[in-house]
Amino acid sequence: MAINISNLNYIYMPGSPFEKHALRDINLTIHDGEFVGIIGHTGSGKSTLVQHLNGLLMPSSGSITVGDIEVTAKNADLKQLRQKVGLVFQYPEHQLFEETVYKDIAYGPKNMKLSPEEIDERVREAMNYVGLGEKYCERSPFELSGGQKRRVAIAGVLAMRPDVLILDEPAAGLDPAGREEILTQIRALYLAKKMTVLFVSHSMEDVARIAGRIIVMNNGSVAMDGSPADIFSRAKELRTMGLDVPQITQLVEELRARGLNINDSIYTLERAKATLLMMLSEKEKKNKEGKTC
Amino acid sequence: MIKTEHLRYAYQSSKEDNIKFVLDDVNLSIRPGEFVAVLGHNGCGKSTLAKHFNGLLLPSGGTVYVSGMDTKLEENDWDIRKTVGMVFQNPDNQIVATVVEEDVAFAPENLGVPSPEIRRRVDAALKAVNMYDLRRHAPHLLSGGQKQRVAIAGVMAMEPKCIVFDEPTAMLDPKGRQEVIETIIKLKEEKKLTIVLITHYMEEAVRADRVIVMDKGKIMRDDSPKNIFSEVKFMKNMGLDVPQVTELCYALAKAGIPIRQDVLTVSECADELMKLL
Repeated sequence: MAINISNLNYIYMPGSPFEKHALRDINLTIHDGEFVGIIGHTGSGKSTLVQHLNGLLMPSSGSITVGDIEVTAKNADLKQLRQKVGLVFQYPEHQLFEETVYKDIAYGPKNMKLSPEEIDERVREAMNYVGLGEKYCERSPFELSGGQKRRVAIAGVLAMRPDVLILDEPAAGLDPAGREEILTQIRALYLAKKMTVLFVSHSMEDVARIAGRIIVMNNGSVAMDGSPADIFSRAKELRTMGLDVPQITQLVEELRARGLNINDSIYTLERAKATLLMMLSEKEKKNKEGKTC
Repeated sequence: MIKTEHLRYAYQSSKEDNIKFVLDDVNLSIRPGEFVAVLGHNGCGKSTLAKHFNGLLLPSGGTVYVSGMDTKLEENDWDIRKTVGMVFQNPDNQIVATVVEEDVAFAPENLGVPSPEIRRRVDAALKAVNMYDLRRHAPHLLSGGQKQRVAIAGVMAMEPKCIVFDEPTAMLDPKGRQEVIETIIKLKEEKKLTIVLITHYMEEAVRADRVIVMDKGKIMRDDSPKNIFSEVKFMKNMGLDVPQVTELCYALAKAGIPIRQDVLTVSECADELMKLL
């Protein structure tokens, strides 16, 4: 499902002393089936932006369409919109409330007035996608670990079968193994369901690994929009926006500063390893040739 | 400063036969002025361990000494909590007042410290965390990193000898994380505080004097960051990460390149690579 945003502006508490121009002239097109990472420091407007996409916030000016729904129209069907655009908030485990995992995940579909069979099918499918086995159905969500709770919350959104999935900092506060697990599952889900995914994060490492396109927000505007390779080759600019670049990017930058001719668009460990191995074997070859001459 | 002897801890379980030790025979000694990072995946017992360091939890077996005081003896409670302060993950749960400096003054006020002395302590604490200029601000309008620094100042105003940080940067953005880590290092260097830092961020642990890796309630490793992180395979098995540059050198070495494997920082890694290229 494609998303179109044109001339979007949002002002918090207009006319009060706390007035804040949170989004400025945002123009974006997100294509059907894209996996987009949205990055920016705290207060850059990334969460404000995604909350517009399912009508939680209405723009001060500008227009948004999601699929064939014009979100900004007066008579927009927001209920339908919210079923199509699933939003997983930061720390979604704080929103769990039911007695059992099963009931919690079933809450959304139940409100859609689906048949019990349909609800059951959706709950099981959603649990399967996030890697929660049958045995968790009757467990209380409150006695699970942090990572498991979060997966229950994500399953609750998936059970609505959204066309667009928006995740706001899904890996925040998890340990490295938990992060890895959530990221792998999101990636698998994206590949299996061909959804449009928007992934909000301030971890450059995570976004570098998972997204096909990155949007960088700064002071309420879109500062950069491109492939991960494009974005990470602009390390200096990213740093002035208070963002970290992956350590591999920093290394490449450092090597270039020391006069080594290495491709500046390397941002993953695998690419760095392959490139360095190639450079080392070439060097060896040259050394040998030098000796034989 | 802190010493544990055969420390065991089990959470109360309804079923008698199902006792699970969250901490299992932990022997540890932390010297004054040391900066120790504790790593481990969720549920490995590291927060439970930290809560023993100021008597928030008491051992089920074994003993914990804080500056020689046994935490099990009730009469030591006050002195132990004055010696070891704690800073937790969520800054919003730790701030009580509506003005920054009043929040920092909360603890010494409760201790019955005389007013001029409170003033002195609050100012010193706010300066130490670089929040003095914002002392009259409302905490809820501050950024996450700033709030966490106010929480640290609140602990500093107790004038502790040691501060235990339980994932102080987990909820912060990169800039906030940087602010908090620089503050922690400054407290160690300038105020000579003993620091225990529980974290999931390997780039923070790299800056410690010593790293402890926990798993299933036991200490698996206790060594320098260099020695710990060069064991890439072990760390991955523990569900932990190593810095990307360390992993890169490990991968290159595995491919037959003669390169040191105990590099931790970007510039060290660049040094090694430039030698070869």
